[in-house]
Amino acid sequence: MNIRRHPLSAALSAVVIAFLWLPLVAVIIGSFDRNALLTTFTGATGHWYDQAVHDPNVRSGFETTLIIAVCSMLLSLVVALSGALWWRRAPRRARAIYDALVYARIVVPEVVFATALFFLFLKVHFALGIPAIIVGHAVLNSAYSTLIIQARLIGTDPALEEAAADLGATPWRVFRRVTLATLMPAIIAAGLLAFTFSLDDVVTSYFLQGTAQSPLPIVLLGMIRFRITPEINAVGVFVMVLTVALMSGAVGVLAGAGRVGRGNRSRRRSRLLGLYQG
Amino acid sequence: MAHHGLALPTVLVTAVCFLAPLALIFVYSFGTDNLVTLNVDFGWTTSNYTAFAQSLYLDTLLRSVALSLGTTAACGVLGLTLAYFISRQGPRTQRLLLAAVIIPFWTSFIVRTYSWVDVLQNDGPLDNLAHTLGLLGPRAHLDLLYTPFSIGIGIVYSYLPLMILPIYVSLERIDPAIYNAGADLGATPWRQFRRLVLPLARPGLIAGSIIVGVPAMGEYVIPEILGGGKTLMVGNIIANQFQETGNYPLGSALAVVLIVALMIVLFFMRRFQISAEVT
Amino acid sequence: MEVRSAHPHGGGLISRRALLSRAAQLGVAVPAAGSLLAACGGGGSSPSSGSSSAHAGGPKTGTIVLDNYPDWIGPKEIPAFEHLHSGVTVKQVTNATSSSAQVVLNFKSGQYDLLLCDTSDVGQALAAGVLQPVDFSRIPNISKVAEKFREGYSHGIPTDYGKVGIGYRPDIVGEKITSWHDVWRLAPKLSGQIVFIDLERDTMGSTLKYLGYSSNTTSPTALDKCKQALIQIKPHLKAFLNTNVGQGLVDGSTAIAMDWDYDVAVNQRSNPKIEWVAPEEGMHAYLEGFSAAKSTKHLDLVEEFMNFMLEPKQYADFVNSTGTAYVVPSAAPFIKHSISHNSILEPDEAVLRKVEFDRYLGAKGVVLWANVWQDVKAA
Repeated sequence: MNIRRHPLSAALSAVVIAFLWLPLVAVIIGSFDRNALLTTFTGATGHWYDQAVHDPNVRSGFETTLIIAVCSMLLSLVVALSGALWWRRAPRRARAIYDALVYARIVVPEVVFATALFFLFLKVHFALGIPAIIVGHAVLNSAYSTLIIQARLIGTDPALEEAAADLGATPWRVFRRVTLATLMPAIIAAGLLAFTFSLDDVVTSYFLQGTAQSPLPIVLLGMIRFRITPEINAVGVFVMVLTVALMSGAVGVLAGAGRVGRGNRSRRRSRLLGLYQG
Repeated sequence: MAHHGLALPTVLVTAVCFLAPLALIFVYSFGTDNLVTLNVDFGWTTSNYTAFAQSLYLDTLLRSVALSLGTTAACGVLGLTLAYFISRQGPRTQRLLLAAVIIPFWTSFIVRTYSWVDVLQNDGPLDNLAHTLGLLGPRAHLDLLYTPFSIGIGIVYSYLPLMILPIYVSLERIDPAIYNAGADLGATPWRQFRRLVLPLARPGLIAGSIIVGVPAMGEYVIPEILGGGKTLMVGNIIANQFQETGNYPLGSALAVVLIVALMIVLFFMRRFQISAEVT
Repeated sequence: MEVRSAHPHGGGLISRRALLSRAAQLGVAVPAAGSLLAACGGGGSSPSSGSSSAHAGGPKTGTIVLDNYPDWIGPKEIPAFEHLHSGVTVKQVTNATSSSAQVVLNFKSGQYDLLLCDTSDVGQALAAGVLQPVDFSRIPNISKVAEKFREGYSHGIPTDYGKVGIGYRPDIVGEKITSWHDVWRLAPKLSGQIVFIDLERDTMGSTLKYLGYSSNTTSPTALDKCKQALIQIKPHLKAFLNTNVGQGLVDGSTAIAMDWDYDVAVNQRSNPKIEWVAPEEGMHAYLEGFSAAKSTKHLDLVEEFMNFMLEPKQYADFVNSTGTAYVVPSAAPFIKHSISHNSILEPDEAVLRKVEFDRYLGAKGVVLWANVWQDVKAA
C-alpha cells in the first residue's frame, strides 16, 4: 500500500498509535525524573530503578505474579485446548452450550465473578491465596484462549488429520504431528494472551488473595498513595521490558510455526508427508 | 468416549468455578444482611430487588450503558482505521505495527491507567498544550479529569487492542491483489473501503464490539481511578455494596440484574453475529 | 455466618491513614521504606528503653497478627519489640480500608489478633460481639494517654486523631473563608475546583455540621437534608478523593478542599499560600487506635505490645513517621518540632470545643448513613 495514496488512513493511524503510546512515554519519562513529585522534570536519574529492584515488596509481588501467571496460563491452555478439540466433533446442542459458556465468562463483569468465587471458596473452605487466584484467572482467561484456538480450528481442514490417519499414523501421532503443529500458533497466541491478562489482573487477585503475598498490581496500588511515584513508573517500565523480551521470544516461535499452517495446500501436504517420514 | 473425556477440564472449570459461584450470588440476592454484625440471613425476600429499582442506581445504569456504547463506537472507529491500515502493509511492517499496538499493554495496567491521571489533569501536559496553543485563557483549564470523558478515555485505551485484533484477523485474509484489481477497475480508495473492506471487516467488528462493549459495562477499576469518586459505573456500585457497606444481598441483587441485562444484550448480539457470518 | 473479609491490600480505595503517612514522608524526611510487611525476625534496630513494660511471668512465645494501614507504625517499633521479646513475632498485614464494615469483617475473620480501628468501628465490633476488651491493668502506659482520648476510646488503646476541616488558596478564591457556609456559597463560582473526601463519615459528618446538626446524628430528617445538600453541591465538585485530597491546593488546580488537618499541614510546607480553616460551625473528627479481636489466643501478648506502643519513645517514632496529631503528651520531647508545634494540629480550646468525634451510630444509623452515602455517590 502506498502511503501517499492513503494519507487519511495513514494520518489517522498515526494518531491512534500516538494515543496508545502517550501514557507509556509519560511512564518512561516519569521513571527517570529526579523530582519525586513528578510535577516537573528536573533531570534524569536511574535511582528509581535501583530502588524498585531492591524493594522487597516489589520483588515478592513480582515473583508471586509470575508464578500465578505461568500456572494460570498452563491451566487455561489445558482447558481451552481440550475443550476446543471436543467442540470440533461435538453435537450441535452441546456446542451451543459450550459457546454460551465461553462468552458468558467474557461478559460477566469481573467484579461480580470475583466476589462470587470468593463466596464459594469461603463456603467450601477452600483456602484463599495463590492457588485460589490461579483458579480464578484460569476460569476467565481460558475463555479468551478458547476463542483463539477455536478460531484457528475453524480455519483448519480436518482432511489433513484424516489423511494422516489413513497413512497409518496412530491417534497420538496424528495429534502431535498434525493437530498440535497446525494449532501451535494459536496455542502460543492463546497462551500469551492468558499470561498477559493474568499478569495485569487486579480485581480477581484483589478478592481472592486472602492474607498471602499480593501480586504485583496490588502491590503497586498500595504504593500509589499520593500519586504515581517515579519508582512505580520504573516498575512499570521494568515489567514492560521483561514482557517484551518474553513475548519476542515466543513470537519468534510463533512466526516460525506459523509457516506450517499458512501457505497453499500443496506445500502443506508435502510438509505433512515430510512429517511422516521423520 | 475418549472424545467426551476431552470436555472434562472445561466442565470442571466452568461448572464448579463459574456457574456454581454465580448460583450462590443468585441465592444471596434473596437474603438479608444485618449491617452491624454483617451476618447474612437467607430468608428468601425480594426486598433487595425492589430497593434497587427505586433508587438513583438506575441513573448509574444508564450512565454505564451510555459509556459502553460510546466507548465501543470509538473503539470501532479507531480500531477499524488502524486494523485496515495495518492489513494493507507488507508482512514485516504489519508485525512492527502490531508490536507497536501491543507493547504499551505490557506495561502494568495499574501504572498505565494511573498515568492518565497525570496526563489529563489540569496543569498536566494536555492542559499545558492547550494553553501554549492559545486555546485557553490563562486561568481556564480543560477540566478533563474525573469526568465521564476521562473514564471513557481510560476504557477506550484499555480495550482498543481487543477491537483491533479481531478486525485485523478478518481483514488480513484479503488478498492484496483484490485491492489492485479494484483500483484497476477504477474504484476510488474510499469506494473500495466501503464496498470491500467494511463488509469483510464486519465479523471482526461485531466480535470486537461484543468483547469490548459488554465487559465495559461492568468496568470497575477504571472508573475507580479516573472517575474521581463522583462518576460511578454499575461495577463500582456493586463493589461498594460488597466492600464498603458489607451488604452482600443487595450487592448480589444488583449483580444479578446486571448479568441478566448483559446476557440479553449478548444474546441479541450473538444472533446478529451468527447471521452476519452466514451472509 | 462466618464471612471472612476480602483484603484489599491497598489501592486507590485507600484511606486517609495511608495518605497521611505518605504525606508525612514527603514533608518529614523519613527513610522511604515502602510498605512495611514485617515478617519473622527483627531488623536489628535499637532496642527500646523498656521502662514500663514491667510484666511478671516467664518468657512468652507466639505470633500475633496485626491488621494495620500501610506504614501506620514507626519503622522501628516492631523490630524493637521483637528484639525485646525473643520468641514473639509480630506479623503485620496491611489493609488500606476505611469502612466500618470491612474492619468488623476483619475482626470476625479470626485472622487477626489486634486491629487498627476508630471509635465507630469499635462500637460496631462490640455490638457484633467480635471485640475483646483489654485489661488496662496490664497496660500501665495507658496512663500516659490524655484523659479525653482515653474516655473516647474505651476498649483498646487510642493512638491518634484527626480533624476534618478546610484547606484553601485565598489567592485563588479571592476572599477569606471561615465556615462551611462559605464553601457551599462559593461553590457555583469555583465550580470544578472543589474537592471533598471520599469517605462517608467525614463528608457526611462535615455536611451535617454545615447544616447545624451533630455529625453523629441518626435522625432521618437530618440525614435527608444532608443528602440534598451534598447532591446540590456535587455538580460543582471536582472529585471525591481519598488519595491526593489536598495535593491540588499546591499547584492551584484545587481552590478549596475538605481535608484532614495533617494533610493541609504537609501541603502547606510545599506551598505556604495554602491556608487551613477550622470552620465556625465545627468539625468532625476521628479518634483511632488498636483493639483486640475476640478470637485472639494471645491476649497477653497483645496487651504487652499495646503497652509497648504507648511508651513515649516508641510512640514518638510512630508520630514522626506519620505526622499525625497525637494523644500522648509526654512523648512531645521526642516528636519533631514541625509536628508538635504546628498550630493546625494542636488548635486552641475554643476550636476543640466545636470538634465532634465520631461515634458508633447504632444498627439503624449504620443502615441510614450507608443508604444516604450510596445515593449521593450514585447521583
